[in-house]
Formats: sequence, structure tokens, C-alpha cells
Amino acid sequence: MGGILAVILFAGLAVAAVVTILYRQNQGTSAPAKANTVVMAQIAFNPKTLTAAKGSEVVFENKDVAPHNVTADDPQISSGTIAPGKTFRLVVQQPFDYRCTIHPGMDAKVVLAG
Amino acid sequence: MIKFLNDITGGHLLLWKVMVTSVVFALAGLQVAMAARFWGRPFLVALSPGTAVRVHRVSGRLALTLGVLVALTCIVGPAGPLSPTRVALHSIFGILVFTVLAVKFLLLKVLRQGDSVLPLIGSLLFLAFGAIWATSVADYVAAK
Repeated sequence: MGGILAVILFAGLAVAAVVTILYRQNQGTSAPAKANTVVMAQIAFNPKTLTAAKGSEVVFENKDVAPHNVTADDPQISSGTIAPGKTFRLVVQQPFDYRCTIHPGMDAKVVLAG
Repeated sequence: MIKFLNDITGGHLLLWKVMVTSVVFALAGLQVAMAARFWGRPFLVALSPGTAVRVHRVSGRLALTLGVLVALTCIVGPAGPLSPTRVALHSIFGILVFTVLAVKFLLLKVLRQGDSVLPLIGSLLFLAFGAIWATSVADYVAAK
């Protein structure tokens, strides 16, 4: 009896992991409810492209389990490590591409409105 | 759920995962050493086969309990991303571990056969746990 339960538990965990990954891969990411906000979750920036007015403040919220950072070359931006639950703010003066140097492939951009 | 996990670990969920996964990996190593003892190929330990069986059973239960807890945390929390590569590998090895465990318990406890492949399964589990540990540590170190 215990053996069957163990088989069901372990097989169930393996199947649950596969289903969860497939589901979240297909789910995509919806834009955050708040304007001028970039959410870091599932090792991705969301939205991938944020449109902001020149001189406005953009908030980066880390809602992930992993620490991230916001790094850009032009203009030079280095947020330092943003721990889970923490935020980083900056005033946008020009469009820029940025990335998280901790997680290769995690990148996005900010474009100016108008 | 992720907010809850971050809250109860003080924002250090990755660190907790790495620590518990390290314990599980160490216990997996102990499992192999104990199994080798009662399979007549002793190394590192000089216990009687009977004691080795008891240690194998207790440490196995502890390792699986901790492993299941970490896996559940992963599934309800961060599971999903397949990038960067180390995250994808972490998921693949996690799925592999529980698939192999299901096969092991099916053979050992339900079908009551396949004794000859148990050393292979045990070694595979140890290597898979090692890979999970390494990919956890890699993510933690990369964040440092």
C-alpha cells in the first residue's frame, strides 16, 4: 500500500512539474496593472517593451524568487542587486535597452512615448 | 504564492533551497555508501550490513521528505522559466529524479522485482540529485 502511494506521489510530482512548466510557458505574461511599472517575475521583465514619457519615473518591481538587476550601457544604469520584494526606480530621459546580468537572456527595453 | 514564499524566507528563498538541496545531496551520497555496504561493495563506511540497511532507510526517508518539500516549493512557486539554460536543466533534473523514484518504488515495492537494476537506479538518483544541487548553487552564485 505504502509502495503504491509512493509511486503515485513521485510520479505525480514529475507530472505536475511538466504540466506546470508547459502551462506557464503557454500562459505568457500579461502587462502589469500599474502604468510605468516593470515587473520582474519568472525570470523575465514584463512588459518586454515599456512606453514611458520623457522625464517620468519608472518603477521596477522584483516579484520573483530570485534577485535581479537592471543594467544598461547607454545610458549607464546599474541598479545593483534588487532582492525579491524590492523595487528600483529611475527617471527616464531617453530610450534604452536593459538586461539582468544575473540571468542571461532576461532583457527588455524602454521607449519614449510620442 | 511567490510572495508568501519570499516572506517566510525573508526574501532568501534561493538560499534556503540551496541549503536544503545540499542536505538532500549529502544524504543521497550517504544512501549510495550504505547501499554499497549491504550490496557487498563497502567503501568509506565500516558498518554492519544490518546497520547500513537501517541507516539507508532512515536517511532515505529524510532525503525524500526534504526533496518533496523543495520540489513542491518549486512547483507552486518559480517553476516555469526555461531560460537561462541552468534553470531549464534544474527543471529537467528535478523531473528526472521523481520519475526515477517512481520507477524505483514501482519495481521495489509494487512489482517486487528488478533487484539487479537497483544499484543503477541508486547511482542515477545520486547523480541527478548532484545535478539539481549544482544548478541550484549556480543560480545562487550567479546572483551574488
